[in-house]
Amino acid sequence: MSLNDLIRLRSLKSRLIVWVFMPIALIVAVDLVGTYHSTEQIATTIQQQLLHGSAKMISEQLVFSDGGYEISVPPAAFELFENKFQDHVYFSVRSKDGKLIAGDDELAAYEESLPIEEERYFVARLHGEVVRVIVFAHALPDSSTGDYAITQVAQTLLSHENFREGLFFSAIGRHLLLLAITIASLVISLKWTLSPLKEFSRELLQRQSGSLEKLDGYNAPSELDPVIRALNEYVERLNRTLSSYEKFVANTAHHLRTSFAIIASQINFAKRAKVHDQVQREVLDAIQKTLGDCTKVINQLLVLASIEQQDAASADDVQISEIIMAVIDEMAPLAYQKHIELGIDVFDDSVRVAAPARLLHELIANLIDNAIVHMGKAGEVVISLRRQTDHVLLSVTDDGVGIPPALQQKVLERFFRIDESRAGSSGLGLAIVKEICDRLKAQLSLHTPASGAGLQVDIRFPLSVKAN
Amino acid sequence: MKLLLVEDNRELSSWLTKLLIQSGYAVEQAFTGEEASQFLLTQSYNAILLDLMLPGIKGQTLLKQIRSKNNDVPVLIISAQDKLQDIIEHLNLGADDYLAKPFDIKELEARLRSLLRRASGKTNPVLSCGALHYDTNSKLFSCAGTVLALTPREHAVLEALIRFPGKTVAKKDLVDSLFTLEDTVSVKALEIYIVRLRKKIENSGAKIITLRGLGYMLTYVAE
Repeated sequence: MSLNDLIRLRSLKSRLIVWVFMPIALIVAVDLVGTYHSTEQIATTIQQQLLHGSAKMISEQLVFSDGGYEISVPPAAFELFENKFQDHVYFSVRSKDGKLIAGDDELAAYEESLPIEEERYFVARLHGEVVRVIVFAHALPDSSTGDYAITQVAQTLLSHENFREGLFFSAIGRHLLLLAITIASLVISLKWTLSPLKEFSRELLQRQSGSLEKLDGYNAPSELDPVIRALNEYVERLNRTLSSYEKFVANTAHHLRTSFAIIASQINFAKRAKVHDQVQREVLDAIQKTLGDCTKVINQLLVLASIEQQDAASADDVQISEIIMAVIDEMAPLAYQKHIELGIDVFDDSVRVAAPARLLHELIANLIDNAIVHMGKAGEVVISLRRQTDHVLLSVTDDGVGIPPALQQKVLERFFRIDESRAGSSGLGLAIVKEICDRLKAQLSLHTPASGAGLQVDIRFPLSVKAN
Repeated sequence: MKLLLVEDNRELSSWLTKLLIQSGYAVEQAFTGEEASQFLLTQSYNAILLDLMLPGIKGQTLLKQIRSKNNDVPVLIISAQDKLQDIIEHLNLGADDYLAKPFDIKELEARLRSLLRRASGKTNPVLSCGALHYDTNSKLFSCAGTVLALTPREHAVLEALIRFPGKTVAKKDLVDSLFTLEDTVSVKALEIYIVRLRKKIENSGAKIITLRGLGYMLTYVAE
């Protein structure tokens, strides 16, 4: 999947992931902000309670004696704060006019008014550290004057922060676990849910390229039903189009062949007439030859039109040597006319190839015809057939003018001719060979033979599974 | 010889008729399957030339009708369809031969002659290739009316070739045909006989073609 696809959410997977994962992530984020605040609150409340307990314990020890106040601070008031974080704790007890009775002077007197038996909390700086401070007003014992003392206890924030962080990190941990479980189950469920889709596309890919059978969706999930229905409708339309195309080809073929048959009879009739001068005879021969060339092109075009229609599945398991022999018999007179010796070299006549016999015949006929027509001089055309480890190799070699390497791919195109003026060439022969090879999954290669002159065409057929 | 030509294309029908009449046949033309059916009720023919794509009753249906009435008149199909399965299907339905359009009149007439010969029950004792003929009764080769003077070995080789005109005959088979005449036949000797034969038949249109690695073929090659 490319980044572009991801951005445009081309894939169902990314859509699902985005639309399930994103909201969950958002909820988690919002919840984490709330959790942060509540952990701060919890930690602060706990520290305040400790401060409150300590302040109460200290102030309760305040006694009036000898006209002044005395206090003996109990160790328990500081033991309350004991923990591994080694927080600094400070305290001060002052009279209502701000006179320090006991404790640290650095804890400044509380300036604002404070009702008796009430406390205030605030945060201040002491010795360069941030501390939370409790201010507690405590009515003095044995005092009828409404006198009171102000106790302050301060603690640095180390344990408070550690406690808060502990709470928060454990919350983050739980949230991450939740997200991980969500992603994992998303991935698993997507894989599981989308597997029929994959299976379906694999089945589609495995179909024969010419297959116009309808799909049956009996084991596909119901969500695919509309897709299968649409595909089937498309197949039906394609089928109708193809059959009208086939009809068109058949009608054209019928019409052209009938017309050519008329012209052939007319020429035959004219040639049989008694009165002829030399020119007339030459013209009639020329027309007859042109008619032969036209017939060849029409037949080649019809072969091209029918290659796609040929059902490769109906492949016969054929002894290819028999077809080669039949083609050699057909081609021998043409080769003789062009002073070309036709023959075989290494020839394993036991090999079999799985292919429709008609296609093989067209393939070999066009191959040999092409070699004969394009020799350009007297020479030889040699056919060899051998079995190699994993294929059957058919080679047709001539010692003619050859094809320059730069044009060896070009000549496989329909109607491409190196020499436009050459008679008997339609520019279709090798195109037919190429297209039939593609249809039969055979490999076609053109090169200059070892002798250095001419053309060698190699065709490698897959071995027939049944035989060989 | 009376022929029924069933062909819906009037132009083709008329030209073929002219050619066949020129060659000495009597020709009745039918342009539809129905017409042909009518003719067949009252007339009898020596052979039928049948197109397949007809308006109305198709050629195939007509062929089935003819054969279902135990009429074994020779039927030569002339059709624009040249697919192997079409040919096999119609031969199986009882057609005697099949010729794809467009065809050369010489081929049509050759096939017609062979059909008529078979129907008359006489197997022609004469084998031909171009203007070269071999009378299997008199064992004589002739070229345009002149008897060819051949040695027994040349005769044996040419006879082996003319039995399969247009087909490759393996060297081994040719050597075997000479075996009764001499005890040791070398391929070299065979090549010499072939060279001599080529010279002797050079005006007949029939040629002996060498197929390297395979053998020889006697066939007609247009000049």
